[in-house]
Amino acid sequence: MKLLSLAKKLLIYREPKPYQEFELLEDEPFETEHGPDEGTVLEKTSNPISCEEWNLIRQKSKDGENSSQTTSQETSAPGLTVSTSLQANLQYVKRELHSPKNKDVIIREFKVMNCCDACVVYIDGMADKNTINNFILRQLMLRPLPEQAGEVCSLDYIAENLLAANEIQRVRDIDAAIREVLNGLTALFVDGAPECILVETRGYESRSITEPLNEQVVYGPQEAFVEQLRTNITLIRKIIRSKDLITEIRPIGKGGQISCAMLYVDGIVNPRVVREMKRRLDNINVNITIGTGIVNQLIEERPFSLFPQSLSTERPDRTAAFLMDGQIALILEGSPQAIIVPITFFHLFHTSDDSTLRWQYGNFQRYVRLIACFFAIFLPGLYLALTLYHSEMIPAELMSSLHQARENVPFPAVIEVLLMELSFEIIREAGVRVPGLVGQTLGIIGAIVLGQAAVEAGLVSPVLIIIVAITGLGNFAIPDYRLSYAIRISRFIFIVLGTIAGFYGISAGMYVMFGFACSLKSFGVPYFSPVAPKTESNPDIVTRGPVWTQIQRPDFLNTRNRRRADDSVMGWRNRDK
Amino acid sequence: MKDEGKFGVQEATWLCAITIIAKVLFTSPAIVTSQFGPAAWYMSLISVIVASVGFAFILKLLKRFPRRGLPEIYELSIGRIPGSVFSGILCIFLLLIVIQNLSDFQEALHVYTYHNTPDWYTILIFVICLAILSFLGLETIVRTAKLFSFFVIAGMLAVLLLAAENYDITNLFPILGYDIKKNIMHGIIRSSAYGEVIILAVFARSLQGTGYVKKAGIASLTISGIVITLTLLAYILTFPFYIAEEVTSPMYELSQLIDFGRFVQRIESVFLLVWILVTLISSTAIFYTFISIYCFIFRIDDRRPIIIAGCFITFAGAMLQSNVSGVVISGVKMIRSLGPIPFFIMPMIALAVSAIRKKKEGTDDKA
Repeated sequence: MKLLSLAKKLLIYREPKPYQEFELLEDEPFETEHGPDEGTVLEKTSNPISCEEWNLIRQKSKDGENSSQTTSQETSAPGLTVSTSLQANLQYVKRELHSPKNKDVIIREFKVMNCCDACVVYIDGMADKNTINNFILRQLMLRPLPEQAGEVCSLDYIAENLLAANEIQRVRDIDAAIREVLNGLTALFVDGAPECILVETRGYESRSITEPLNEQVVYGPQEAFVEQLRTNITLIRKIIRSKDLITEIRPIGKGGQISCAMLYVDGIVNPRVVREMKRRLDNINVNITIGTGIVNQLIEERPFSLFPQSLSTERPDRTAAFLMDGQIALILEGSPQAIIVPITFFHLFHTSDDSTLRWQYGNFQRYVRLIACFFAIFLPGLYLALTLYHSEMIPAELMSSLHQARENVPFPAVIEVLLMELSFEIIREAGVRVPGLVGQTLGIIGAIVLGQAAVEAGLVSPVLIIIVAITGLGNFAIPDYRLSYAIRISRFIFIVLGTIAGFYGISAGMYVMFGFACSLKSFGVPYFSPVAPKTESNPDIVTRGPVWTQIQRPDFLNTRNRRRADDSVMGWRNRDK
Repeated sequence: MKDEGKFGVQEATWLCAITIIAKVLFTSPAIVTSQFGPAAWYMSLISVIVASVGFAFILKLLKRFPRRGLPEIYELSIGRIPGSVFSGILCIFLLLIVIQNLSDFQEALHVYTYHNTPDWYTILIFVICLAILSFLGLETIVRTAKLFSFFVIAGMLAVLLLAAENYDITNLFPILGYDIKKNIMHGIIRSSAYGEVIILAVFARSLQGTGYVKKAGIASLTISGIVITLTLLAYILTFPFYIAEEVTSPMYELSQLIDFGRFVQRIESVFLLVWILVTLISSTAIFYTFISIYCFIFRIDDRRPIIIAGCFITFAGAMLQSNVSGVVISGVKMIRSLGPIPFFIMPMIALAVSAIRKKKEGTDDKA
């Protein structure tokens, strides 16, 4: 049956499904795209606000001042409301959290000032017990009974007078409350109250801030993101101390298990990109614990493409630079990377060092990287094309030594190249899997021993070892980890193309590969902007101009504020000032 | 006409320029030299001037029907059926050019590099690339052309500069060629060598205004005119005209002559990359234009089946050519001599008819 349906799919004509691709076009005015909610936020935004404040302002503007305070999560996933009966609430919470079978769930019942029944619910290990003991339970149980005893059990009184916590939320949706409990917050249910109070008590273990592992620089900050969302947001706020830096926290995935912070600078970012990002995040329907890598794949427009359409960085300074350019950063709870969108191919080639070093040094680095990338993709393929089809191009002396080196090799050139490339990939993979220093040693020793042994055994020629080594090193020079994977895979394609059709095959492959890449868009931005299509930008594509020339934001991002700096970046040159 | 997406002046310029330039890589220069002798290089300037005049008429027509493509304009100006006939003639002509380009390319490849490779193999690889890029759409094609433009121009200029040591100024004489009157006459007819500028008119909607079409057209004609003239000049400076008319691919021959010491010699294979890329871009652009016009005539929304069918026809057409001389006699000469009709004369007729019938559609702000 499967075979039959496959044959049907292949042979029978089907109309293409209409699909409106998201495009970031220049001639669409911001005003019409700017939603009323965001307009309100703009008016109300003052000094840097917390994520919860931001969400509350949004909610207020939607529901009106008189409605109860609810979180944005509630609107995204409306569920059962909190009952006025404490026992009914407890029963529901226990059933949902599988208590008492699930020992992580702690439900502590008590009386507020010996007056009315209440209970707190939290997850052991996720919440900070010190905060719960000293600033919730102690405050609620050990305080003397005030004169107006009747008010004690009202949530208003508890929230305003008793709870000594810096951040609280009142929610009606009991499912939303459970979701937040799973995030490390503590839920307080009071008998007779139609809402519960969520107290910020997150206090789980996390590692401290360390140096970046994959994006090390010589100059510049040495901090990297960690697995804690709050810390990561703070790291960015430390750099961008702007009132316009907005952090929206949204639960993503089925059941909203993971909190995701979406950061952008209001007034710079294009609101359409923000809206599109929200649309994509809100429509992720997976029931698994997702991290940056999976979200990356789920928000990309063309998941079948080899090239990544978003950028992952572990550096807060780089993230801040992207935000100031009008891009969006996504940070997930539990992931030490930020996802940046929209991006172009050239962003994947840039590093922090390019900017922190003087422009001449930065450029030198970039050119080296570019040459390395060229070698990483094409060198083995070109070697095969030259030796198999275009040997007239090789100078006589080189040709002679090549032939001498290959004299004792029993395999055809292509098998030789594939053998060595595969061995190199295996060593690399093994090096990653073996822990710590052993892995690095294994990689080096493996490559040397294997290469030497293969040459001595007459299985491969020494020239090929040089080629494979240069190719491998070239691959390591590519700054983006996912792009380096794309290049590794492409290399094998070009090996095949070089073998079957020489330079013709390689040219045809280049044409198709770059054609595919040109058809990509990252959140409406063409992948090869600002080169193809040509748009205005700072001199920072392949060659990077001096810092004082970087006065514009990239045109292709269609930012609301195009200028990054005044014309006189180095105003001190003017003697009058 | 179906919305093909949007692109800018630079992308359009490079797409059009590369499409026109491609023919200088094949047998065309040899044919020109056989017709005009040492005067071939400036004959190209006459052709580009005539093509510019023809393009001016196309622009006039576009201005009468702003934000519409040429096939739509044909229907609006001269009626549905005659308009479809005009579009159909252009469509068939474009398909013939693609087939011609491919045959030319295949034969040149066979002569210089892939002597033992079967024809079907070379053509098949080419047609697959054509199909893939056509599936990806016009936006992708123009962006790819723009992306490779630096590489193409750098490669061609490198060949012209590195081959300078072989230039001999005496090869330019007699400077007036065989017969100046005949030269000018042929120069006018050969304006069809620049006729691919009509692609801009077909996709005028994507360029968002006649003003942009004008800019892109002038720029592409200028670039291609300079490159073709320089290439022909370099070719005539290198080979005496009686030898030049025998060479299948002059640019390839020029690159073969580059010799700087023992190491930098026989680097024509590097040039091969440029050659192949230019041909692929050029053929894809023309092929996609053919598909687009065809789908418009028959009001077909889904282009995928037509692309596949078009690829089969192109493959079969290219396989029909028996050898280089067949390609030259039946193809290049015929296309060049008949080219002005679909490229320039038909738009002129449409313009005249629309003026007589007083057919006009608003004004174009960006014109």
